[in-house]
Amino acid sequence: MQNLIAFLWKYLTVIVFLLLYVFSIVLIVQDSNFQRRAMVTTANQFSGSVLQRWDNVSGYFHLKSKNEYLALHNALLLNRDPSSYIITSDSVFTTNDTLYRQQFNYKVAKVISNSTGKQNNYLLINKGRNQDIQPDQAVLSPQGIVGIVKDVSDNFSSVLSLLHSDARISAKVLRNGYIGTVIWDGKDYRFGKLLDIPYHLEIKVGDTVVTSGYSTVFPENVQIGTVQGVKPNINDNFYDLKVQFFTDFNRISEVYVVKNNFKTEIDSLTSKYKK
Amino acid sequence: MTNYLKYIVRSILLVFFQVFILNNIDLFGFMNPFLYVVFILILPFKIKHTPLVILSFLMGYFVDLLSGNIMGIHAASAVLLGFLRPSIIRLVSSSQSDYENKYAPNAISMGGKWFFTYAGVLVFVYNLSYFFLEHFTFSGFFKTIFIAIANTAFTLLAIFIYEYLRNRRSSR
Repeated sequence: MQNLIAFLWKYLTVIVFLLLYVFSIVLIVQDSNFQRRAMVTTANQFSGSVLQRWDNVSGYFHLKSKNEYLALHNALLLNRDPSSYIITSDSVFTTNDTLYRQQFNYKVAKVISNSTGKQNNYLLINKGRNQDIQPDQAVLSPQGIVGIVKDVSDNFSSVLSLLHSDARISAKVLRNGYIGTVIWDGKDYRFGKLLDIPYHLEIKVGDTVVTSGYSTVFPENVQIGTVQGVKPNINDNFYDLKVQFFTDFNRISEVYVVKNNFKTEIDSLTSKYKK
Repeated sequence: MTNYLKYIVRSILLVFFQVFILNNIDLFGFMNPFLYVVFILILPFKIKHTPLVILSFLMGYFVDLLSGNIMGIHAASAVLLGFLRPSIIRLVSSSQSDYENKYAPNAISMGGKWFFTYAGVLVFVYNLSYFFLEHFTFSGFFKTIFIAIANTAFTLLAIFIYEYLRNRRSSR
């Protein structure tokens, strides 16, 4: 027994080092689970409020480009506004609430922290549980898709960016409707990959990729990007497609958080098969 | 006692400076100087090995906790740095008398060449560990090594500025 204690004492430093090192590695591996969840409620509340103050100041330096974005998006919306159209037929339009039930609600939030250079990127936005943001809601920018809400605290939410190794978005090619999956390979924040498109289908450079609407998270036909490179995958019968994102992840400042009003209903239906 | 207080204040300031200023630099999208490791580098020579390892871990852990990045990645790298520090001191010194009667590693008392060889080796180890743990794969091996080297240079520059300002103030 005494020998054992003497032995442990002699190698105390090595043992402490190994214990702490293994503990850190376990933290890294388990990062996506309880550790992040515990952190988002305490540390993020704190750093979130500091980051927001900083963003209040730095926001002024981007006002010009912000205004250009807003003007662009206003023009887009005005194009869809009924007052921009001249009625050329004599038909009468009526709206009926029982036929047109709203499925998606959009809320505006401001990005207060963002990264693009890491392998797993997160954004922090300034709305949370108090503003009816919940995990697994879609986050979009005026240009296209951004990510999915991961954790919420009272007034902030962390968003799993599309630039994350866990992000898998069900997508389709707009021109012909083929279904695939968009992922990010961790190399360049401007480009991602479209997988699961069989090699015999015809895909051209310049094809637009949009969300498929097959998940309960994203609305259908939200823009993702354009196909930039078409290569056959050597190992199997699928394409290796390079996709250039519409969203400039380095310049996101305002985002829309999308709530699907029928999500719980659809999920409760499909959860029966998954078990 | 005032000495302990000085180190506590210094560690808090360095962690906050790291998290709220330096981690937002993102030069070329990935480069941030990890200046806070200078705290571990300039602890006194006579500190025992076990407390050094534990202190290093705590520094890394708090940076992880506040920066909202992957948890544990700074902690693992810092604890490795603290563990290797005594061996590197022995390695870069020609004899034990080099540091026996000195108080702490410092660019003035130890000489710039000694200090930056010592800091360079440890900061490089730190960066290697950090970027391999972040990527968590050995694919793109040389790209990761290149990033680690570039970021080591960036960190050393920050440490150089920090040491310059610190020594100028104390010599006045």
